[in-house]
Amino acid sequence: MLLIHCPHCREDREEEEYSYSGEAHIVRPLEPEALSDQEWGDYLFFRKNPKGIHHEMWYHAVGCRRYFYATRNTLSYEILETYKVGEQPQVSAQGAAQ
Amino acid sequence: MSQINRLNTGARTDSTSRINFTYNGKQMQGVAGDTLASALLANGVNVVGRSFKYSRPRGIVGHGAEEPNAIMQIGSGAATVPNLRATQVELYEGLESASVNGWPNVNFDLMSITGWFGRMMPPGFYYKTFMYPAKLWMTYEHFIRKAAGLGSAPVQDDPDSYDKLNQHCDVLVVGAGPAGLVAAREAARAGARVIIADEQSEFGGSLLASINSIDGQAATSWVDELVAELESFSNVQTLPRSTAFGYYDHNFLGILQRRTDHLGISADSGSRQRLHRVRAKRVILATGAFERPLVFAQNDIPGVMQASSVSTYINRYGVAPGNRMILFTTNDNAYQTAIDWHRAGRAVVAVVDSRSAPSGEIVGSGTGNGYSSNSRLRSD
Amino acid sequence: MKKYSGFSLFKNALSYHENWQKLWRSPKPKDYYDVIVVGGGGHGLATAYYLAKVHGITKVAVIEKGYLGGGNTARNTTIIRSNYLWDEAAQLYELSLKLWEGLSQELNYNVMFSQRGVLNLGHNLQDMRDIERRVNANRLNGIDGEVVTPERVKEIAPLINISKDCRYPILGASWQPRGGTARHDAVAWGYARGADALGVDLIQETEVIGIRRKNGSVVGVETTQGFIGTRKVACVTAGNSGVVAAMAGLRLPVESRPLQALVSEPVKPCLDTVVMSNAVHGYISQSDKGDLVIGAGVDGYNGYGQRGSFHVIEHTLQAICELFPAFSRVRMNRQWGGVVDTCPDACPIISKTSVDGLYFNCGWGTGGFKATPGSGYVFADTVANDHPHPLAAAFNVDRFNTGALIDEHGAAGVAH
Ligand SMILES: Cc1cc2nc3c(=O)[nH]c(=O)nc-3n(C[C@H](O)[C@H](O)[C@H](O)COP(=O)(O)OP(=O)(O)OC[C@H]3O[C@@H](n4cnc5c(N)ncnc54)[C@H](O)[C@@H]3O)c2cc1C
Ligand SMILES: [Zn+2]
Repeated sequence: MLLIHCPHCREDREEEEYSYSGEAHIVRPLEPEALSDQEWGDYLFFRKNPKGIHHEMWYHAVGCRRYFYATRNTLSYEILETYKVGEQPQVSAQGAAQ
Repeated sequence: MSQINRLNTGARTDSTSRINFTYNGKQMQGVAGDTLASALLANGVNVVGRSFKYSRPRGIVGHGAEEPNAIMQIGSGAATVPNLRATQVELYEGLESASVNGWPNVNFDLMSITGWFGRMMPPGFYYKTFMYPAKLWMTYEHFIRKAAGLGSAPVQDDPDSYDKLNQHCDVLVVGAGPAGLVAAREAARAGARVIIADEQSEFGGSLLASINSIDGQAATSWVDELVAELESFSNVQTLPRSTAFGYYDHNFLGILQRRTDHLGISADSGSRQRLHRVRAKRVILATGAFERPLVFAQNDIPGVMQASSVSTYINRYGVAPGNRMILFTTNDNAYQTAIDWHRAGRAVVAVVDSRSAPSGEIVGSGTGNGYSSNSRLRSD
Repeated sequence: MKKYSGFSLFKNALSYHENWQKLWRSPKPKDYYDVIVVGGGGHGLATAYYLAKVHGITKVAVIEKGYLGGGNTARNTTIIRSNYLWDEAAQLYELSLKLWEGLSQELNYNVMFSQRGVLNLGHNLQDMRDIERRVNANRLNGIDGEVVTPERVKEIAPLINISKDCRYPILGASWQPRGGTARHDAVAWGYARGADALGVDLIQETEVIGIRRKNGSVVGVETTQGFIGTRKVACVTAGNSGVVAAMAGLRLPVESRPLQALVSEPVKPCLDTVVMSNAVHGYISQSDKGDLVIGAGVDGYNGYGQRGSFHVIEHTLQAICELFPAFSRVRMNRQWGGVVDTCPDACPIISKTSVDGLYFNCGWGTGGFKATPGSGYVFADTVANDHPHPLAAAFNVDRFNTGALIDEHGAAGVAH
């Protein structure tokens, strides 16, 4: 049962208030028609799915109803940071602050 | 049957009271403060179950959550509950209990003939057999299933209701023995919001069975004072009869509080059980320890009991579970049990110590406590 | 391999069971194998068994980072059925079910496959339309199944609540009598013993930490016991598949999620079949030991922690108590989680990859135990011939680029 800090509400709230939207920072192609099947499939379905540091997107479904990002360790479930859409993570898998 | 093993030494029982209950259909009596286990022992009940595969007779070994043998079906009809440990069931007027294994009953068990074939049933024997002819497996399995299981699930809809609370606190203390109680008190005095939970009917943990004193005061009255202080704080919530059953991520714990089971009445007293979903800033686990059982041949026969449990039955419940005792130990601590047994007016036949030269303070105090150093057998 | 029978049991009883042959050897890894199977779960062990048995490829090693069958194989609720909607999936699961029907005899190891039937409940009109469609599709594929009324459901599972005054009343169900359960450990151990007897090396407590390639082809694996050469690496690593794929620079259309289950204390027989409900989200059966075995849904987020969130099992138990109001007085004994490899279309990936000699069998998600024999069978064939087995062809990883997905969310039983 995760306790997640919403960067919009600036509060720690229960996991049950949120829904998960998967890997973060996947940019939707501007011209989908221009992509090959390979590229479109990769964009839609293929994921890093790492064991360890993961940048992911969450939605504060029963709170402010806004999206944000989290950097979470998928093995320990520790949440290292949450940040707003448009911002960049401070923590990365390489460990160095960016 | 009368309470042949009842003493008036029980710090937490009232030996003048009377509570009627039944065990396998037989009428018995216990006293206020008893668990079903202490009441059965007071009544001289030795065999409380049968082992699963070989149907060996089994007696009460422990006094709490660690009890492996005294598994009971409590109540009847829609409100029956399977597989409760007698050591964790508080006695109430009219309680119905039954042992779960043994056919036709635990004392005369026909299933024990499987004991004769026991050598044909090493661990995992079923993987090695019942394969041919293939179409007979479902028939074999039918009989395997019938022999399995402990108690029975009710067959009617549950008449009770249940509820839950979401809770937040600064400090959650699990376990209300001396360590947990003091931790909760210190946190409370510092102004923290505290929840303290313990699965037993009252707080105090091991001290409930202790005849020692703390700060010049009997341990049990020290507990009473501390609990009273805790209850006086508005920032403290005390949860007896409440088992923490899961510690999830980010300090989320599930605690199940049994609100009415000890009253033996259904439905009309509000929810039977309450789930506390607790999110804590800090968690203190002060859940104490179990005595580690000794391993020796036949250590499962009725009459073999943990030393700490013997002391607990005498000191907390006022029950001497037997007459003549051999104490087998690997450490000084268990000598207290010989002393307690002697004080209960029972005979210590021998003390068997696995160490060649035990020498602690309490070991030497044997003389004058019913056992002497020459009754100490050593197995070195 | 010494054969097991009532007679061998009797003979060994005379020598106090001290002379049983070990189930398998614990060999030192060799320098080179024809095939290395990564992952010693049920699927990996079955793959190795059929490689040796059907294809005569016996220079095979199974490399397992923990102990055999300790992953999802050890953690699943053992439901077996083949009533999937689409032809491709139905045929694969049905092959598996047929193999289950003779598996104890094939392996000379009792996997306790128990055909006590599976009910999939419907709670609203759309559920019932889906059930009818699925049962019709199953029958066209030669798979047993019928649509049953609430009264028939009650006959099969007498403690179930079919009254109309509940939040999700039961309107009917699909019923597959040939479905059931099996003993999870025995499946892993039976395949392991069989594979070992055919010469396969089972190497435990050894992790694959790298996949060495040369000119786009596999040449071996790096392990915690050193390098081992091979030209074929068959990965059957369930929830860890993304991690292993990354060793070869690949990504998969797979996300690893916690999936939880619980068992009650053992009680006398009271549920003689398997009951599943998609809508209220719980599934339940009773093991031969007497435990009620209850499965929950997947957690909402990626996780490798082999544990999940409390609210997920809380929700499942609410569902179970609504279905079986008597069970609220039965106490739960243990809960745990496994890491399942979920695929976007709820179907597996049984496939070659863009790296020559590297094969993946994953994506079984919440429901691959039932497929253990069939999965091993078609994967062994795919690896041996370097060409997909006809029943595996549709499960190529390319389908996520071509768009030929096989959407089994409805029949998968657990939403993910
Ligand atoms: C709670 C739960 C309930 C389920 N219920 C059902 C059900 O009722 N019916 C059903 O059909 N399915 C069910 N499933 C799904 C089923 O358990 C799996 O699909 C199936 O067991 C997968 O088998 P496997 O052999 O592929 O994986 P696993 O048994 O997980 O084996 C994979 C093995 O790979 C090893 N491994 C991973 N990485 C490496 C490495 N780098 N090096 C070496 N070894 C490695 C792991 O240690 C593991 O032993 C359930 C799963 C869970 C978790
Ligand atoms: Zn918010």
